Amino acid sequence: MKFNLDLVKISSRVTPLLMYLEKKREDQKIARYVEIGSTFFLISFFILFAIKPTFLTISSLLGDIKSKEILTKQLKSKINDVIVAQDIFSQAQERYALVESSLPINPRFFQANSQIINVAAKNTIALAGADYSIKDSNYFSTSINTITSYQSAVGFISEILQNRRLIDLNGFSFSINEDIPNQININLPLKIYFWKDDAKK
Amino acid sequence: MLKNKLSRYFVLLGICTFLAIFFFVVQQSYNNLMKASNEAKNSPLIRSVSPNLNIEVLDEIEKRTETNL
Repeated sequence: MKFNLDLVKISSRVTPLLMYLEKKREDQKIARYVEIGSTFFLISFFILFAIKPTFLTISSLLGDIKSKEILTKQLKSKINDVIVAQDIFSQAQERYALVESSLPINPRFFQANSQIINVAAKNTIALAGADYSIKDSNYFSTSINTITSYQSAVGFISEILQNRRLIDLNGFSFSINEDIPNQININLPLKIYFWKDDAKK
Repeated sequence: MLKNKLSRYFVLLGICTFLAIFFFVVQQSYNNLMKASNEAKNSPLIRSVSPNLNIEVLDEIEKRTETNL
């Protein structure tokens, strides 16, 4: 009986101690959690205010280096292309007069008119005159309406198409002249081209 | 018990914040890295120049007769 009483006494003394220890352990656990959480927050803070600017600067610099490498590579090939283009252009420039006679930088009505008159004269075609109309394009147009023989008309067209000055004949019409025998009415709409410098600079 | 729960949430929040900031920094760095090279690729400076010029057309023009004025 006495033994039982001692047990109850001991138990009543030990229980608060156990509870105290349990609470202590719980507090230690919470402290550990708070410590871990705080560590993560501190690392985040450190990343945001110390590592982030450094990383951004490093990545910008690396990007700049990479872009410069790309630019250098591309520009080297562009320089080579420009050198090749210069060589080819100098070849073309030597023959500039040829290009100019074919496609002049301004309409040069006089040259075109003289050439048409000369070709017509060669083929015994009498031209009364020609009207030129120029629009906002790279050519001006005229129309030749006259009476001539079939051979002369064919010869005229052939020479006009073989002329160095670029002249385009877009369709023509022949009709028999009922008043004069062996003569035909011809209608030739011509387009005479020139180089219109409207390229964007 | 409540304190214990709160401390667990605190850890979870810390981890989430850490991950969010980490990925934010990584993404910003990657953007910075790629931005410069993309700008370089689209730069008008590197627009290619074609050196091909049809020189043969000059021979063809030469073959045509020039009517004397």
